[in-house]
Formats: sequence, structure tokens, C-alpha cells
Amino acid sequence: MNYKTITIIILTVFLSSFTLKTEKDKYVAKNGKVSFYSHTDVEDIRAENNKVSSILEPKTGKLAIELLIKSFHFEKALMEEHFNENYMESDKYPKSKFEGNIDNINEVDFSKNGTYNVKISGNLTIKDKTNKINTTGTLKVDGNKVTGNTVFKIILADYNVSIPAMVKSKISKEIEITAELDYQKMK
Amino acid sequence: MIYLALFVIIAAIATGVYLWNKPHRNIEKSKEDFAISAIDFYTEYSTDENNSNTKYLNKIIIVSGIITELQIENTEEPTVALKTSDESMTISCGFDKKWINDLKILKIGAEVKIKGKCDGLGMFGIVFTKCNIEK
Repeated sequence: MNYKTITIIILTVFLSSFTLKTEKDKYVAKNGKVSFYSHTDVEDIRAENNKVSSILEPKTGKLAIELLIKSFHFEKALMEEHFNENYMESDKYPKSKFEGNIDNINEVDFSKNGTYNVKISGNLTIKDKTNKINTTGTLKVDGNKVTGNTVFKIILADYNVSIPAMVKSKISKEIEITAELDYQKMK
Repeated sequence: MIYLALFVIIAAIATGVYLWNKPHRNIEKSKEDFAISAIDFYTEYSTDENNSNTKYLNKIIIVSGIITELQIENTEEPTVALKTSDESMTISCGFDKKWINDLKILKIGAEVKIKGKCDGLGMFGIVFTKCNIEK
């Protein structure tokens, strides 16, 4: 064996162990919760989705969240129907996703229980529109469990959601979104 | 003439009230559109997501398979996940809390038939909501 072969072997072993390690080290949420709230003087509207998926990489701070529009539950059947058919066109755009980062991930110590304040930035896609989102939230570390919380607002018009004139007074232009994601460490 | 106008107004109000209070679709009592095994369903869905969306989204489906994950208590929407051919993917079925007694008796590794509404393909597999256990 010459030098070159040895170098290649060492490099391959080193690189493969590296990819294995980063792949292993992630937090996964499968039944996270995202709800939204629209407030006007005429009507308050709330809907909840308990089937939200997310992957958080503790080393890099990379954060991905995805949900299916049809999994939102409304109190009123009619609202759910209008939401899917008219506003979100969920047959055409069945999912919505966020891809971004926890910018100050180095301030979160995943080996130490506690609640950490985090800064989140990234791209939110709803229907066929993608916009930058900047918000804050918390990560609560409790052993192998991590709970992520955030609340932020979006403007419906930014995502091509048009509200017909007839119901304009009932639906707020700005919607408050709340996310609560329970992560488990993946081995 | 007045009676006619009055009738139209009352009919309009009644329709409005009916629509406003229209109940949610009763999936439990509806006939299924498809009945398929969890393994075949995931294979078909993941091979062609777009066509599967057209075929299956919002449809009532009975899916049968082996339970691989259970999250029943301490949750707003209890979940039973069924095994597919891909280890990291499941058919994840969300239930209303009223079914809690049907769900408590389930065990990982057991076979089950679940009826629900197909919401699409997510990060970790296919998602169903408004499910019930088919007996």
C-alpha cells in the first residue's frame, strides 16, 4: 500500500463517519401543532393542525417545518370548506412549508435542560408564494425532548390569498400563526 | 305579494342558518372511495405524488396495515401510524378524541383497519385525519 491509497482510505473513513454523525444528530417532530387566529370586530376565526412535521438540526440550526393544508380543523364545517376550496385551493396546493434557520443555535445547549430564546429566519411558502419570515421563539430542552414555540403574523395578500368583498369584514388581513412542536431526538 | 316577499326572506334566512351550522362530513358513516393496504398505498403515492393527489386528496379511504407508532394520550388529536415499505415513512392517522376508548386498546405490531380522509403526502409519509377504527 502506498501513501495515496492510505490517504484515500483514511479520508473515506473520516468523511463517512462525519456524514453518519450529522445524519444521526437531529430532532424530529411528527405531530406538531400549528394554529392560526383571525380577529375582526365581526368574527374570530381559529383553526388547528395537529399533524405538523419538522426536522431540527442542533449542530447547524437548520429548521424545516411542513404541514398539509387539509389537516386544519375548524369549528364550522362551512369555514373549513371555504378555507380549502376558495382561499387556500388545497387541491392545487396541498402543503405549506418553512425552510430556514435558528440563527443563534450556538446559544442553545441541548445537553442542559432549560428554556432558550431563539431567533428564527427563513422562507415561508403558502400556495405558490414564498416570503421571508423573521421571528423569535423559544426552545425548551428537557432531556431528549425539545419543545419549540413561536408566534408570528403574516399578511394574507403576501401569499395570494384573496378574500371576497362580501366577507372582508369577517376575515382579518393579518393572521396570527402559533406553532408548538414537540421534538424527539433521533438515534 | 307581501307574503311572497316574506317567504323569500324566511327561506333565505333558513338557508343561511342551515349553511352556517352545516355539520362536518360524517366520514364514519360514509361509504369509502378506496380500500387499500398501507404498503401499497404508500408505494403508489410516493411513486407519483401529483397523480395520487388528484386521485386521493379529500377522499375517504380504508387503509389496513401494521401499527408502528401510537400517540394516544396527552394530545389534541390521537395518532395511529401504520407501517409502509419505507422505514422512515408511515401512514399517520389523526383521530378525534371521542375515539379514545377504541384507541387505548391498540398495540404496536397489531393489524388494524382505519377509515379516514386523505390529506396528502408530508415529510414523514401520508397523513389522514378525521379517522375512525373500522370494525
